[in-house]
Amino acid sequence: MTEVDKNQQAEQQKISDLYATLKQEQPTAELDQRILDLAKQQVASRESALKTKAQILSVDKRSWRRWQWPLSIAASILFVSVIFIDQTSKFMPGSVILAPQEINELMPDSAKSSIARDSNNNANLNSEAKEQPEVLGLSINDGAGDELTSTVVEDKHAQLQGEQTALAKQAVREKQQLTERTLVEKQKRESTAVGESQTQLVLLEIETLQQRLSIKQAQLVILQQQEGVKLRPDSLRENNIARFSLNTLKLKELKTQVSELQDTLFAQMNAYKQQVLDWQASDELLSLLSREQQQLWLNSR
Amino acid sequence: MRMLPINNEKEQEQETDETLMQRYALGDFAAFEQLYQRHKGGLYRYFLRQLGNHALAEDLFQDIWSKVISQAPKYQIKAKFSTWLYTLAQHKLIDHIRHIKVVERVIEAPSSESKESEPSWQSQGVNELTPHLQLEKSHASAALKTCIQGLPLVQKDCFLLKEEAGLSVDVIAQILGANYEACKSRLRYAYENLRQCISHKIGQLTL
Repeated sequence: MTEVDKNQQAEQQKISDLYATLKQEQPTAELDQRILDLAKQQVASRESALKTKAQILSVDKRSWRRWQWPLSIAASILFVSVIFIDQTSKFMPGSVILAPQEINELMPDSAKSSIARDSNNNANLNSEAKEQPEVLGLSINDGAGDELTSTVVEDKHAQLQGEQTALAKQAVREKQQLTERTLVEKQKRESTAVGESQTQLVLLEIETLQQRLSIKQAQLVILQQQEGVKLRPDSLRENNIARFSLNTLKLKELKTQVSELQDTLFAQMNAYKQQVLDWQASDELLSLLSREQQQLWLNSR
Repeated sequence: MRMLPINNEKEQEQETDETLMQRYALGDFAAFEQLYQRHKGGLYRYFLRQLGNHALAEDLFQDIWSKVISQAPKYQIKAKFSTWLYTLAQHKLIDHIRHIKVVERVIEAPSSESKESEPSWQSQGVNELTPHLQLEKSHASAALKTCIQGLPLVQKDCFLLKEEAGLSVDVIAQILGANYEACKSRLRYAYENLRQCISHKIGQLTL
């Protein structure tokens, strides 16, 4: 630090010391009081605001706390119920809930009569309990006796309900079985009807084949006869040869056709035989077949 | 009795000023009372020296403390309490001066330091001092008071913040929104002007 700086500092210190002697002015007492009152008022207002806030919070807290347990219990019950219902629907899908009228409708008559009998017995039991209390060890005027009677009645009622439920279930099962049987029979009838219609078709086919085959065989015979009659002397040998060749071709063709018809007829007859076991082909029909086919037919019977 | 160095004493006070303020924020009125007693004189004189009018000084003084009271719940220890207090005071003063147009000089940046450094007492003649003051050796104090009145606003600000609030140069710079060197030079000029002023009024300054 230079001398100049030191001198400057010394001078500044002098002025500071001199100024320290001037520090005498103070705010007035009234001004002090005003400011202090303001500060006090602010503290009081803050405290009251906090108290009000605390009261509001405590009231809210209290009112909330009052409902805390009931709400939590209700929420728990709801949660468990939802889960139970959901799981029940997943694992017991086939359960059928029947209305009382449906139960009555499905119940067999024996069950209905049994229930009626039991309800009558129940009524009799109540009336007997009232009329002959000594027999049952009860007293009408005794409150305990009435409770015992009602307990017995309730037990009987529960028993009857259980029987009713069992009978209802049995009725449902029987109905299901009946439905199944009906369906099966219906299917059989339908299949039989289909089989019969198919058999009819085969029969028609056989008849048609029979007619065609008859015609063809007749044509064959005629042609063969014509061939024998129309054979001429050698002068007409060339014509005869030509004609013979033509007829041979025709014969061959006819024979082929007859053979095919015979095969088809034989197949249809076998198919019909399988469907109608007791069917017997007429001799007329059998005569249309070839010898081998006739032999086979007779062997298969 | 040797007085404690001002800085250490101030540091001790300022260490607890923040605690007192926090306690008041929590509702401790006594803490505020203590805090008020510590700082009321300096703040009052700060306004008084600046404005030269008791009534005006009281108005601004009350405004500042009202603000302190109202902002107590939001008070956070980001700076020292005294720094915060005199920052409020300085801003209030500037707003007031701008509003009533008390001074003719415009508050400018340090570039206009040479202009500002010209104390107003220089325009005053020695003969303007009252004869009573001229006669007393201890009139130095009174002379000083008068000289302070004649300082330029920025120099007066720096001087009073240092002398009344006991703030350091860097804190003063922070309050005034100026840099450290500018504040340092303003203070130097302030003391120099005061010395010259006092010497001018009562002769060589001897204490």
